[in-house]
Amino acid sequence: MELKQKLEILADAAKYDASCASSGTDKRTSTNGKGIGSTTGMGICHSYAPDGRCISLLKILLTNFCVYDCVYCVNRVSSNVPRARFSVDEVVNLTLSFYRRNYIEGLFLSSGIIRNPDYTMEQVVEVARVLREVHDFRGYIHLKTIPDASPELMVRAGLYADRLSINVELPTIASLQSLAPEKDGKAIRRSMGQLRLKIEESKEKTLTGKRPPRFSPGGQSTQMIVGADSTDDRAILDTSANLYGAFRLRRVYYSAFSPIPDASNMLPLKAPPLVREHRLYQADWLLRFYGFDAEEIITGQDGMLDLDVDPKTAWALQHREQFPVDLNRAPKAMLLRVPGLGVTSVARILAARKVRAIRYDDLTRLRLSLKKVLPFVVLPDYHPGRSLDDNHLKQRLQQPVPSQQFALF
Amino acid sequence: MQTVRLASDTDIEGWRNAARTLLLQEIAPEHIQWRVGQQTYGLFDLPEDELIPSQRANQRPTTQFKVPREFIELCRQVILHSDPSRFTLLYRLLWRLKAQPKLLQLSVDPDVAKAQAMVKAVRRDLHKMKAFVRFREIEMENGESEFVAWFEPSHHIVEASAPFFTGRFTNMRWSILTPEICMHWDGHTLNYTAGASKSEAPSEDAGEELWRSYYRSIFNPARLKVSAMLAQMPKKYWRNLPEAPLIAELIADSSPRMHGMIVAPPTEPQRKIVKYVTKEESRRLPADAGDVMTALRELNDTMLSSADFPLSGHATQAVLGQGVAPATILLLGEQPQEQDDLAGQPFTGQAGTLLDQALNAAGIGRSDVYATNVLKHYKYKLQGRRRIPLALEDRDIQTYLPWLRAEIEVVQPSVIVAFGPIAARALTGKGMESEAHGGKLLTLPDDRQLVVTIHPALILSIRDQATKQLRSEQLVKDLALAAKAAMQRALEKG
Ligand code: SF4
Repeated sequence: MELKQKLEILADAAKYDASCASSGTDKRTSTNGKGIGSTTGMGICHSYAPDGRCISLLKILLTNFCVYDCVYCVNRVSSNVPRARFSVDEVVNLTLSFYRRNYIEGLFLSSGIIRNPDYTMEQVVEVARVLREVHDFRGYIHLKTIPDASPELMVRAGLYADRLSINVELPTIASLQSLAPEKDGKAIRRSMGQLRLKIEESKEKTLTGKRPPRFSPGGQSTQMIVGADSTDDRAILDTSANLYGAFRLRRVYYSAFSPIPDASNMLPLKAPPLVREHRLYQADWLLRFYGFDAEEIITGQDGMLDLDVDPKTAWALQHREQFPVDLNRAPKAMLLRVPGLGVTSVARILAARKVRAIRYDDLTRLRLSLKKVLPFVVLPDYHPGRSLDDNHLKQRLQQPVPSQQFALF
Repeated sequence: MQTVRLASDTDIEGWRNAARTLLLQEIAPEHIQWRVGQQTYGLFDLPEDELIPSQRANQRPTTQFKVPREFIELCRQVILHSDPSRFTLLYRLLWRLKAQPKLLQLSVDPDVAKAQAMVKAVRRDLHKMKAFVRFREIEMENGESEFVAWFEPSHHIVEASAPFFTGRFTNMRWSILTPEICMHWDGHTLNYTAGASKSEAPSEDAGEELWRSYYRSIFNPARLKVSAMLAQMPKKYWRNLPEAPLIAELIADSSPRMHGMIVAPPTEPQRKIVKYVTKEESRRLPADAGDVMTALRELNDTMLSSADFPLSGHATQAVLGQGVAPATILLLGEQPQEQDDLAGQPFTGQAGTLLDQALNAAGIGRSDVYATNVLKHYKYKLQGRRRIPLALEDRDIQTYLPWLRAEIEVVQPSVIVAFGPIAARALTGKGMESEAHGGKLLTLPDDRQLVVTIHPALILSIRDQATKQLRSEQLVKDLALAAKAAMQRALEKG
């Protein structure tokens, strides 16, 4: 099979993984090396597909042959999609050739499970080894780990990779059992536990003061498919919060289940719930950077996030008694709860109000959405009046989620 | 009105020298005109002597005025912006800083806000340059390759981008051509030449076709979100992206493609499906173990598959007992620590290390004992991103107690060391503080002996060094007591 055809099959097979980040790892360049590549720490998106997703890494499968039968997956053993398999050298050369042209930050390699977890993992690790050791490649490498692969293979994977990930796939172990019968939810969590210990170990100085061997400096991440089972948002966020707490994940990616070619009839075949996915990301953000707890983010009775307004606005609308907030006096934790105020604006407000009082005109210069902020704040020369009592406040704050636009051309 | 002429658009040194002198002369921002030009005879159009502050020479010199470090940083970024008013803006900020040293903290000030917006625009442009420069490969006569790109930045950022490109493509020969200035790297040194035009850049190379295949395949037609793409990849950059010509076609096809996937009936698998059987795990116990070990393994398996465990929901895994069986000494903690939950083994991490040291000092090898906990799962509460251990309640103990009893039956220890009052309570039905009962050998109803001591994890949390030392010594003493009792029992049995 021609390389181009393989690339088409194996990129197509990899596109359902939402993760694309090339961030979080240590900084390095090629200045003292023979090879190519660098990492800046913050990651770079080299392109964007019309699905709005960033293209940062060459994201491919080593092979889409798979002995498992996860119903949501295009590569499951029972699907009739065309199959292909890259050789180690093909992946290595493709990565280097794209990298030299500045198309990518590096490689995100995953694989269908062939023969057994160890065999598969060994092939994946071999690609990373050749890139690092033979070509002195210093770009980003993200490897998908196969749960329960042997500990030695994990150690080697961590030595070459900047980030490792294991997908929990579905928010509950019960859904996993019904939709991915061969996958073992407990083994997945067990492997994540091992990864956290190894990642933390590699950051501690040993007693002899020697630096421990490198292990996945960019941490670990995971992905959850949303909308393939009936789990509600409350349970999803609860799972995420526990995953963050237990395994110190850098990210939990949410992937709205989207129709796949040759789909199983066990699944909801409809347009993917993209707005729900978007709200989950916003809620996840509130968990990680805004001091919200998983329980308080879900305000609806049905255990779902409000699709009409963002989760912070939804929370504020339900807790109107805590508003308006005095921007010149409120503590940081409360400023972070004001709809429309991001982490940066809050930092700026805190710095500025040490110098002088903030007034209405000042807000216009902070580049934030006045429409969102104004009903919830007081300033020396501004008061929202009775707008917090307005029954239509929610409608006024609703922002039409940009629908699919075809009007571009 | 005074005019200052800077050597180039990014002449930060020139701007600083001029600004310093002007400030010294107390010339207000509105009396200065900033120009960029080629003249090299000096920074100012004014005769030299006018620059020297004469009548103010006796006053406190303004030169002592120190600008905050962040202002210098701000200048470095703002000067790269394409807005011609930036020099004036920076000088005005400098001027105002004299009276308002904290000015830069005021993001709500119009001047500061404007400068910060410029910094943001420059950073973004720089970031987009790193992202969207596309090299094309040219083969040279000696067979080596050279990589050339054409790019049109919005601001004066080419030189600022150099460290990125030389650091990344150190061992490549490359050139980046732009309308204002061109940058060339031969593997060792960087050279700048005058601006070029797009026609001087090479045309499409063979690698681009593969890249387009990739772009086409990685796009998911069921998730069309054009506005999100445009926000990050505005059309002005499309001209030089080899993948951009595909966008229109991908968007147009996406709706029929998604619809096709939804209506297509499920197919029958054509491949012969081999059912994959996950290998039975025998992770903790050696396969060739004797009868006792087999009994222990069976017990563990039953326990793992039992639905009776209320705590198993969010714990990473069950933490089962560890060690050989039969064993004369059984170590009993109350519940796994966070590290144990992650590792799947009891007494790991720092507490485990401390325990090992104490066992060692008491003359006991870790392999001589069997170690376990009353609870087999980590019980915790989530606090932000931290998992805080929760105290055990009676019903937790009741749930797990049958398993512990069965475990003790299998392991057949003659002495049990309980770490902490709760572990002791599981065995005796009453809480027993190690302070009160430490150093004593107690006898359980089933005639096994019990030593109650302090949990190693608790010792770790003691701040006061003297107390810590004392408690560690107590732990060793208690363990030694257990060892002695076990020896005694073994002798009695003959
Ligand atoms: S293991 Fe499951 S999810 Fe992974 S490739 Fe195979 S079928 Fe797809």
